[in-house]
Amino acid sequence: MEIEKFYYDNKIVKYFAYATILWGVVGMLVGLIAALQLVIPSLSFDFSMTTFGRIRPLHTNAAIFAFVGNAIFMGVYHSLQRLSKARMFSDTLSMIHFWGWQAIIVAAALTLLLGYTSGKEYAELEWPIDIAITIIWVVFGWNMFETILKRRTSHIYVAIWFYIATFVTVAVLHIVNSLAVPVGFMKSYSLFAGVQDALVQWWYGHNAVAFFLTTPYLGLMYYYLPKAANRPIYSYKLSIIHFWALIFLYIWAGPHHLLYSSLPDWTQALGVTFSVMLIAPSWGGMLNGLLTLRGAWDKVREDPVLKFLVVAVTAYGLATFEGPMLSLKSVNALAHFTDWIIGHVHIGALGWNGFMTFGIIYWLIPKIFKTELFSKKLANIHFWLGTLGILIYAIPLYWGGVTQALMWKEFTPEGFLKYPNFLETVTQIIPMYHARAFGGALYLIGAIIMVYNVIKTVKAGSFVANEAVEAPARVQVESKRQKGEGYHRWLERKPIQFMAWALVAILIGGAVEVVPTYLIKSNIPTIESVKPYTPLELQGRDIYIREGCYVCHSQWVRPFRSETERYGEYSKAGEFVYDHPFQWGSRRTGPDLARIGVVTERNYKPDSWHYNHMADPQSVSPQSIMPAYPWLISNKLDNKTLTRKIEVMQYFGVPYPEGYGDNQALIDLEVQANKIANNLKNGGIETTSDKEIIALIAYLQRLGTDIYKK
Amino acid sequence: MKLVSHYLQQIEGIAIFPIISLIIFMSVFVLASWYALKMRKDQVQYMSNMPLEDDELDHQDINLLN
Ligand code: HEC
Repeated sequence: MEIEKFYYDNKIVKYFAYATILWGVVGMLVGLIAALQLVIPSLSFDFSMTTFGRIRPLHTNAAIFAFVGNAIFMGVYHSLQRLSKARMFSDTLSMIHFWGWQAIIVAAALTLLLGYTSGKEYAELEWPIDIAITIIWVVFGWNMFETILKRRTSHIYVAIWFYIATFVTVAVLHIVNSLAVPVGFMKSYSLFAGVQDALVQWWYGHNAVAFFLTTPYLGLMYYYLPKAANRPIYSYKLSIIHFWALIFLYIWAGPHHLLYSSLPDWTQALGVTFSVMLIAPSWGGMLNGLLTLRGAWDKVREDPVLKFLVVAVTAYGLATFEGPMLSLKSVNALAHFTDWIIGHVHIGALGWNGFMTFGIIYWLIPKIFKTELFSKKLANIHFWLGTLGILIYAIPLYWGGVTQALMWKEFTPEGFLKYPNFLETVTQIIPMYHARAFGGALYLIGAIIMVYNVIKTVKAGSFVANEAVEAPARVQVESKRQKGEGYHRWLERKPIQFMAWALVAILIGGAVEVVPTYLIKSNIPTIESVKPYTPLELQGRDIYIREGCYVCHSQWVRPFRSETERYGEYSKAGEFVYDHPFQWGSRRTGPDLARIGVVTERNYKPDSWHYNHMADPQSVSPQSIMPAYPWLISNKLDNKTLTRKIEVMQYFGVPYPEGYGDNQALIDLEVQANKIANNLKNGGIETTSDKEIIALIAYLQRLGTDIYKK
Repeated sequence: MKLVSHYLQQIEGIAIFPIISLIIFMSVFVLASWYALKMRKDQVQYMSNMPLEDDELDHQDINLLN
């Protein structure tokens, strides 16, 4: 057999490792700021770029795409070369991938703070950045596939299957959910509207969890856990079943984010069924990981790397047990819109993703620097701070979530809401927010200790940029299936076919779920009296999106007495047909706004109330934790793109009159704005009709009113 | 979009989709399990040992070589 000598590229691994650490700390720090803002609203600093509605998307995007994203690439570039016994296909592509991804992160951070957002959770980035992501993702995939193709091993290890599934699925999810028509350089409208947009968004949102936070990390688990424990995975057979069951089931589960919404019932039922079934493969994976350590628990006690990995896998087990429970309709009715969900995702993010990443970093950095870790003791301190941090983060949020949900639902014996004032249910859980921020701070301190440990390790070691390897050349087997070779066995040496099947698996799920809702009229009953937004309301809606109001306010009243009593008539699918994008939200830090404009409902407020409330919420709702929006009071409304906005809406089929955007839209806008300015004047407020606040008030007063019109 | 939706709206009984999906899932699951259980022992061993093979040349570095 011919032995070939070649070199692994460690430089790209080092780059991604450093980026992971840097963005990890930044992302957690921004998260801590967000947590503190919920305790001390003045930390939004009355300044647009630092307001909670923009900080929170920055945190989620940084944690998911910057921290976890770079960690995935670090692990893939390191393990893929070793599992393929080949250097990465192209150093140039690796570098384009690295610098491209970092540029995207910087652009994302700036634009999110500036208020450029699509208004869809975890997919907030605007269209030019979306295009850049697509290009860089393809560069990554190309580099990966070429490496797999030129591998020296005959078969593909299970970790790589997970990488392949990640690559195709994320590509599909990202492209479909980002479909939008630009109305300007950094502004676009989602191609989908209302219920359809919600479905596509949560099909994406859930599978971002599945295929960005889970499958690549399972791949990493299947490589680094055996590596760190120095023993093979417990059951390779189980990993095969695990893989196919997981990717097939995950793709259907999205609708569990939309239970009791106006989504068709059968879609909801489908989402619940598949979510519950997901326990099986998830726990299969977890057990496979933990059982790998059977008989090696003495090692776990010694080795901080293994400690991190064990807690990571355990957290994965917890989160994937909790997830299916939360998708049961009865549990969901209670937990949805509360902090329970925030606790749940942080078990996943801090436990599974965070700890897995830390474990890999502690293992990998000494390896590529040919030295020992600077301090095991500091790593252990990190481990304990992190573990405590997770607990002190999550437990209070579970407690607060349940407390608040019960308060929302409680009636007096006379049949009135026990806590009709929403704010009462907020102030009740503020102590939990203190605890949560403290837990988060502990976790962050742990990560900073890691930074120090890594710097010291790097200083002590000497970096091996190109690691020499010898391996036999691959025996060339015919591409056709050999005699006696099983089909899957054959597939395991055919990466492209493999990807094709993985793609088929996830496309079936996506199509079955999304297509019918998109296409069947009867699924979305139209309501005669629902009309398009007026130009001023449309502008106001765009301000609502820009300021990220959806991170605190839902617009979706569920059909429960406790909600119809509090907010008004429950939401109907037909009410959202002109909402590009939908703004249903996912967390009620503030009250639902779906019917805020309905004069006969209990929460109705006059224009002047909204004006004062937006300028300074605490002046009208003492103890409110909503940030102030003084810039809306002074900013002039920008109508430059109004014509284009109307045209894009018309292109979507929103029935504005022919040529409406040319002139008439602006005229109508001014008439309506003057009316509101006059109203405010009568309420004792001096302002002019060309301010942003006027448009926002117009939008709020429109919300939920259409079904009452004749 | 309207063009596409027009045709797909004609599909009758589209709500049978979820049942189809369940059947497809079950078949994939059964096939994968069947394959996994029937896997030969030497194959399983070969595959599960893949991450453990270390072939780095005793930590040589190209930079140190030249
Ligand atoms: C940090 C979370 C948060 C953000 C962000 C936020 N709000 Fe609020 N909002 C609240 C809370 C809490 C309340 C309840 C207390 C109060 O009246 O201020 C509230 C109340 C309201 C109310 C009164 C609702 C009612 O039924 O009494 C309106 C209207 C409102 N917010 C609009 C907005 C708009 C518009 C934005 C975006 C520009 C926004 N909010 C951003 C938390 C938030």
